[in-house]
Amino acid sequence: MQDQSICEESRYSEIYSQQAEKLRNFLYYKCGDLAKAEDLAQETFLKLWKKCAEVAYESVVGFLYTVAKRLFLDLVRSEKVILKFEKSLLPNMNSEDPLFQLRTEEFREQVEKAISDLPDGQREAFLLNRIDKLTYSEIADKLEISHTAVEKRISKALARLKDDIVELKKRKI
Amino acid sequence: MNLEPDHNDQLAKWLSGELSHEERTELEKHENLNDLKAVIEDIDSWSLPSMDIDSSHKKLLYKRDNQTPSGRVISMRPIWRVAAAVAFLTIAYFGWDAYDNQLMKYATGIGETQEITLPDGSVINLDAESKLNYSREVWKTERTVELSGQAYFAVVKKKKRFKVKTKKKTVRVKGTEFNIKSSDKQFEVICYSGSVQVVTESDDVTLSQGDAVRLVNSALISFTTKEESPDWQQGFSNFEDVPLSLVVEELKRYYEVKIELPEEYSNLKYTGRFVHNNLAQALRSIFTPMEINYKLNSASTVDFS
Repeated sequence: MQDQSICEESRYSEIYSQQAEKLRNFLYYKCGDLAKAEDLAQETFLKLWKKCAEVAYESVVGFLYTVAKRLFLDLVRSEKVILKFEKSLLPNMNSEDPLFQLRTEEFREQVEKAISDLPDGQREAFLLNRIDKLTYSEIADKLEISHTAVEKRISKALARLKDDIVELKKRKI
Repeated sequence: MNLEPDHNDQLAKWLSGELSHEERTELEKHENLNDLKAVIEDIDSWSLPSMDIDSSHKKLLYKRDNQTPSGRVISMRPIWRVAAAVAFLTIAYFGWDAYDNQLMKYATGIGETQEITLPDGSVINLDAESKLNYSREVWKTERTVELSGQAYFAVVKKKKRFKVKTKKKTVRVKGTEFNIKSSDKQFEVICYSGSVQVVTESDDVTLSQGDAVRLVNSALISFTTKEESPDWQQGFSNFEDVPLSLVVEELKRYYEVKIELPEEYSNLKYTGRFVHNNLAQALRSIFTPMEINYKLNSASTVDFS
């Protein structure tokens, strides 16, 4: 077991390069502030170093997310979450296309806002699935909730998004 | 227009492609999911700026090696078990000077807490809006830290005395696990394990587990607690018959909130608790039992009607 120790510099660094960005994304979905998310991710890794002798290599991911969640809770969230993503260029479309309306920059921004406005749990689960391409089981592990709970969150997020799209389209016409 | 609730429940499986062909046909018959599908296809192409792993890794290592004084890893548990009153502590007046370039400084902002591990393995949990300093140079000869604000101490037993300096009166404490709260207005020591000796010019009190003292008009007043750790460590603040103005002061340490308590309320006595991670809930637990009408506005300002 000794060679598996997280206190080994090389192992610690390896965990960092594998996990840091994922953890940062996770925290970003929670707080909506990229700089803050990176700070929290760093703080999480500092805690990992402090506890490196106690944390088993197999459970390091669970440790990271538990600590990150706790650090996030320690922070006060008085401000609203506003998420921004990097988006691909819009394809050239003609206005005859039935999806034309959904493919405008403005519409995308409104979808982005609708996602930001989702309740915390739904937003996290949905984005871990769509942006980080995690399966429902992987999300369940990360958030330490059941597989069914993940499905419920995603379903609710989708139902809400669907209604939002209907609303947004109406507003346009 | 809307799907039946049971159809909505299937959306997660619809998205992950886990529905059977029949189930999917049935679902899509009830509602046009084409728009949703198109929007999700778009979302799938979104991303976040990628992280510069190399440079942030360097930053992390720098922070790590400059923050953890010894880089030594200690386990919390053995410390908690040190129950005997072996460590000696002195809380003395000091002027926040005599710093050297080896000074370790820790400070927390509103609503923040920080766990600090000292070179001897003692652990200090620093509460919101608090400061803790110690000199690595001085540490070689004496275990001395300087505190302003509130902190929970779990001190490892050593022959060398452990000193906590605060801005308040001269107080000497011996003990292993205790909480100190020290500000311009308040001074309080609560003993959670072992025994603690508190000495001022006029008082000399020894506290056992569950005993506590508070400085009121330059005299030490004793009280007791049934808790096993300070309330703030459990994420809330507890009050018994405390003037509302002080409760609001406390609230401001945990939340970025603009709140001017009307004069007429300031001396009302409050008994209860508020949480540290939800402003709306905290305000409710303070003002609703007091039957005071208030409104929390979007800019985190509290108005009273």
